[in-house]
Amino acid sequence: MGYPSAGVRQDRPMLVFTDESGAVVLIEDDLAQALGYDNPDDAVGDPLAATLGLAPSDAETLLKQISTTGSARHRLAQVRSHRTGRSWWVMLSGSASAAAGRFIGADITVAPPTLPPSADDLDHRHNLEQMAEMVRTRLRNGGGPAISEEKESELRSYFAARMLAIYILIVRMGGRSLGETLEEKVRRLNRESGWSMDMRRGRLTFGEAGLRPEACREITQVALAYAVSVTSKRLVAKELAELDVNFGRSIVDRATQYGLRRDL
Amino acid sequence: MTLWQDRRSLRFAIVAVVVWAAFSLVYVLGPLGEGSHTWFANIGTLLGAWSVVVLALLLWRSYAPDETARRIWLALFLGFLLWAIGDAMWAFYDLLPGGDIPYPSPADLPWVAGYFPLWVALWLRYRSMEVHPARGQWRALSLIVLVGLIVFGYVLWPTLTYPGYDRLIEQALDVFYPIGGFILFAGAVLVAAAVRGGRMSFPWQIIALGIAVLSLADLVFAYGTWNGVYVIEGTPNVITILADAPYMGAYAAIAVGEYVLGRLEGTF
Repeated sequence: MGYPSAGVRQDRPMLVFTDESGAVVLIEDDLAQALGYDNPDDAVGDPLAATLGLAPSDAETLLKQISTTGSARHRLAQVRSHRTGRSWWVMLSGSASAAAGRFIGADITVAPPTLPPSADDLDHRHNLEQMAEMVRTRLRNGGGPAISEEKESELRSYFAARMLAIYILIVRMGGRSLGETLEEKVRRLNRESGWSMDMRRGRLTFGEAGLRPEACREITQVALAYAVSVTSKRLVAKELAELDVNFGRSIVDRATQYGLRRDL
Repeated sequence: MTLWQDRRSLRFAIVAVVVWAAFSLVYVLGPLGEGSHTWFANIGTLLGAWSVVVLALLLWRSYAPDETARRIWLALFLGFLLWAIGDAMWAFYDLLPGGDIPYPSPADLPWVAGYFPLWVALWLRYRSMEVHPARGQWRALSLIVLVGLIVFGYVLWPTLTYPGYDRLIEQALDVFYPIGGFILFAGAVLVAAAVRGGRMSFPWQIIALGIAVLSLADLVFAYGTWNGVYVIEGTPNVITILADAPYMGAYAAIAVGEYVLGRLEGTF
């Protein structure tokens, strides 16, 4: 019992996003590491129970409550690292991600029991904000700073968060094969254009050469067009509008100026 | 899981299944006498067909003009509308006392025309997803090939090689319907295999299943009429029931899929 392993942060709430069937579509890096995954993307597609090391019935009850009532509040549960077998207590909360009012997946917050409960844990917008922060952290930590200016870096974070949100929406609505198709389209465009970027499990990684705003714009347009063609403008616009709330006015204006927020 | 998460969708599905089961039952039993089988079959079919048309119209109108989904639903609406008109014409001739149904009849015109927009709709839906063939797709292709062989061996080949046709139009229709049904079946199976795992998979798979069952019921109808075992008036035999009851059920399934999709998209 206790903390899962040295070096893994367990002092803050962390997120797992699932699709409607309970399969993981996104997990925060630190949480995945604590649960024994070398690569967070290895957890994608696994059932929630297997990923968190929960009893299947507990995971099923949690997901059922979220899907039927819209939320599940602060349930004490024991999660387990599938690598070390060590377990520890956490507080699970969850909210339903909805498209036009219909359940399309669960946003689950895994928090240390010692943290005071927060109403934000049940707020999809707040979860999108946390997702955006995760993208910023990844971009700060990974690769060289291809765009050196802070503002441009923020723009790139905005771009990556938007692409991740589009990917998650597509997977939740159309399944993983459509998510893979989106990634393939983005990779193909990058290859053909000679841009230094990759997309795996919805997450963008930037190479040394960086990425120009024009490239971000073109990739965004491809992703948006695909998302709209397999779902609808209404659903995509709603998801992205909720994501935008988590960014400052200046970055949203700059994104608009660079064409990253093309009207749907 | 989808239906359980939305009570209105669940209620709609229950009503659709109950109505289909009730019509199928009274169609088989014919509780109101010898001629009542035909009445129940036609009323059940028309109820299903026009429900599908209305729901398709509402879905089509709910999308923006430049959306792929709008083009898909326009094509589906046109196809289902033409088929519903064909079903209405067939019912008119079928329920006319003492009258024989001509072949070809005016109903064949909208029925034949209806295949084209339906093919286009399934093609647009499949193409818009741009999925690469995976294991599920290969399984779907295997099923399509199997059904294709059966259609060719049991329906098409006898039609093509039959020397006794008086009119070319009859032979052309007898060849067109199985081919049209098979292409629809193939398109529906491919769409169902492509949308797997996401929230949209349930409604699209139900719609695809309905279209596939419609095309299979058509194939059974073609087989039954060709071999002279389809009963137009009187107590239906097994072949007639296998053609008519799934035909009504397929419309009910498509209507459920349309309604669930509309709920998901915020249309209903």
